[in-house]
Amino acid sequence: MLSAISLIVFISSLVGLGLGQSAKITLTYPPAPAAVTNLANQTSPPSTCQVEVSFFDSNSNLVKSQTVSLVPGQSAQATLTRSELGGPPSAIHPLFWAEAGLVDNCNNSANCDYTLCNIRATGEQADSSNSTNLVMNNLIRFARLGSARY
Amino acid sequence: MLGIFGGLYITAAVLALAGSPLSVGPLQFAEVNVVYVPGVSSSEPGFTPPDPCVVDVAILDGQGNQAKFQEFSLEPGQSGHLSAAYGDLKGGGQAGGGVQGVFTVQSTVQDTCGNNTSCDATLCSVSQAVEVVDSKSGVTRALVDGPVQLAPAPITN
Repeated sequence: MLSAISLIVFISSLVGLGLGQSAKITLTYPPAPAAVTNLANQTSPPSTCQVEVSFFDSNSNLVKSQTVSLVPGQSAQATLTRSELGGPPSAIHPLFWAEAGLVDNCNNSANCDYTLCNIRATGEQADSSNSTNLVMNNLIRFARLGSARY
Repeated sequence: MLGIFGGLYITAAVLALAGSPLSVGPLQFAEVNVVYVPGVSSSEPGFTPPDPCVVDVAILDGQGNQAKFQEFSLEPGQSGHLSAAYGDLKGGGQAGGGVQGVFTVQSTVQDTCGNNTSCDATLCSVSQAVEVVDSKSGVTRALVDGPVQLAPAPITN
């Protein structure tokens, strides 16, 4: 969890990975019909939005982190394989959780507001052929305040 | 009085205490995972969650009997797990009014604030995942996840 992240767009619950499975967080940045601008203070999102995806083990130790850059119309995935998750070989069902957050890459520009990045995220588990087995809820959907970080 | 997973609707929160029934087969097990999501700052200035956050997790069988129970005291970042095998989930047949392998999960955050007026147990950002897992492969076949809500206060006259 890097201090640069200040707006979480996805949090999963704590779930397990089976043999041959991987977790993937899919991020999309839908194309905007017009430039998204906050009319109140005339700010816009950065030209490229950055999202950091982090995977944690059951003790919330950081296992893997990946930063992706998106412009409107792009999508990306961050993945965690079972081998990357680690744990004892005898573990049949090692646990992880994941989060994704917008990175403030505005560099203190007065007209830039990274929170205007309209990033959508979903979590899935896939088998060894990358076929989706399961969809993980985005628990941010349950939250009234999604930006209560740092 | 709302944390990051704060209840949006009180009615929904109460209903969510008793989850929908799921079932496992003979080669599967049920697992409940709770994690206290770290790094979530208080959305309520002046209030803090209890330290630790106490979460009660119960797995009920198809007859409504408690098959497994565990209380977890969680610091931010810590997690707890409770599982039940097919054999733990008694059905009792038609006469007993239950089906083998059926289970329901009840998880609640306990209000351990006592008389601390700056403490708010709804700020415990605890999430829950209920999984139906294949025993051999460890693959999750079904997942129901969401926030763990605060246990309702007992009704007093």
